[in-house]
Amino acid sequence: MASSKAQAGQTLWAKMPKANAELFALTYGSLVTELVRDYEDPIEVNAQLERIGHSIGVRCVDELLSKADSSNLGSAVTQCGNLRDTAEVVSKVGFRMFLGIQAEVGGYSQDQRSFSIYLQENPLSTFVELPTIGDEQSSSSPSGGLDDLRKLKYSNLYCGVIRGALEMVNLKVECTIVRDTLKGDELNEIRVELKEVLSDGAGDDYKEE
Amino acid sequence: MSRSSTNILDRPLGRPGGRAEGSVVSLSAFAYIYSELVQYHQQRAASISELERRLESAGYVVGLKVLEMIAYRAKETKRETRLMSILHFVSSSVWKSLFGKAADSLERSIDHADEYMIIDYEPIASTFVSVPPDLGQLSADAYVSGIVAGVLDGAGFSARVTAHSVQVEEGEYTKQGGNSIPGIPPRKDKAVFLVKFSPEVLSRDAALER
Amino acid sequence: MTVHAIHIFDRKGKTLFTKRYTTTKQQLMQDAEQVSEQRKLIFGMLFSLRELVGSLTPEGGSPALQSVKTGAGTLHCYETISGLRIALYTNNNPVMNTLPGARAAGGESTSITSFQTALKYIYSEIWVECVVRSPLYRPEDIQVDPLEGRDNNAGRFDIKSTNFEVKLDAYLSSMPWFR
Repeated sequence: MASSKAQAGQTLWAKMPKANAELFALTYGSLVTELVRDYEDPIEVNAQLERIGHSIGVRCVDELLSKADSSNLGSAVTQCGNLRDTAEVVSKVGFRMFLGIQAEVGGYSQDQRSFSIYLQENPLSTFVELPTIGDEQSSSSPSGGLDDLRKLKYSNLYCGVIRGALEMVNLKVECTIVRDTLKGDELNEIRVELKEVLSDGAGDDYKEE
Repeated sequence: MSRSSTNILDRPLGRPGGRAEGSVVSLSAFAYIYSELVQYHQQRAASISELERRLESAGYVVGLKVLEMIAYRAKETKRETRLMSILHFVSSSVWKSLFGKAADSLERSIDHADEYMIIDYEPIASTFVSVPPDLGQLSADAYVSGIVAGVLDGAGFSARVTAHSVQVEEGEYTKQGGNSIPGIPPRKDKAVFLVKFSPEVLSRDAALER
Repeated sequence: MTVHAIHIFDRKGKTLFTKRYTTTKQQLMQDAEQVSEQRKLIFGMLFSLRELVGSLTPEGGSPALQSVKTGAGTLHCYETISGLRIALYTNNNPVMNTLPGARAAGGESTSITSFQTALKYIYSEIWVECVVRSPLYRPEDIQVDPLEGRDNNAGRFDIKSTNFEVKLDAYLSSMPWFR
């Protein structure tokens, strides 16, 4: 089962039109720079990155599902009986299809409600070193100084993307970056914790009657 | 990209983060990030022209870095000093390394000697944008024009670069292959990046001519 | 004309896109509020039916709701795993309604595209390509504009991606059952 997902991820990745990874990394860098300049507080920047990721997640899940479906990989990807299956899809299909990278999954908790995604490489943080103050062109450096930016979770976007995407399939999760190569760890680890399985329901518009 | 750090200097620039040069992500992933960049600036911009200016300045910073990167990798110590060669550098090397293909053409303006046009029939930044009426003539390629300006300025050719969306004339260009949907006309616009060099650049180039 | 209308709902039942291809006298008299009320009923019906069908379907079977048919017309629907629902309201076309979807999807060059295949195509090739990936699309921003609902643009939302409608129209009208 696990290998069929890895295969599905590879098939989908092969079909995706490509863009230069450096342009991607620099564009993300420009977004982070802007956030750091506007919000100054790294904790707030982390929250904003998560929010932005969420907005990407709720969109890209549609792309993943529809591409898997039209490649006749529907059953391998979309029938998730448990959180393990979901975790495999996120890592083996999601990360592979959009970023072309190998992501491993593991570290399941006893109750099977949380797991970790491990990334050896991180396309978002190419060229990045923390703490950073944007770059030479920044007109104003954040007042917090360098120390403060150590709290910045540069790749916090991933957390939001995963949360947003899983929310669309009725799984409410919380993600945290627990290990980060930018902070000297040997790999990136994103911890995903299932909070609640949501039930289908109509929105507020339908509640007044 | 702080210079004050040590660790990053130990890594070879040619293979950032251990990934091979020329590595790719999906165009979708880029489109999502770019989307968010556009949205972020849109929320903070009071007008379309301000939004474009914000995108341009975001691109400008990227352009400066791109220049460094490509120049480093070219393993050549020589620097482009002539106007035409820097334009060729932008429309071929820079375009290839960023967009995986050379720009479709490079033209000199007939009316203005200081103006050049780089033309791209399938510009990456606006591939997924269709500008809604209430945003007027927003050019989503403003980001790319900022990159071009950054590269040029970094190389010592200061110029004003603007992006324009121009209708492709009948039969001017046909996309090869692609997943065109039956019954749906192909993309109708091309992106024209208008490069207007500053007077001192032109006079310097004229001096080199002699 | 066979196709009367198309609606796209998000998982919470909010209308993301709606368009009428035919207008009857009755519909002309409806104001925006009634139209929006009607869409709520459509979503509500699809939602409840899905719940019901789900509880009736034997283990392992697919509970996907495909169409609802009345004497006057058929509502074709397609629901994605992410909860997006596309509903296409057409009249009853005897030829099309008996056409098995599986055969059409099987890639026979002569077969006519079934409604299910068409809806799937609208989702994966038009919605995802045009709307989801447009930098200017923000799901939470899509709103009914009650002031616009009077004229020909009845009930059209600011989908922030004009390409979607153009491509949708082109695709639908290329279908043999459109007219």
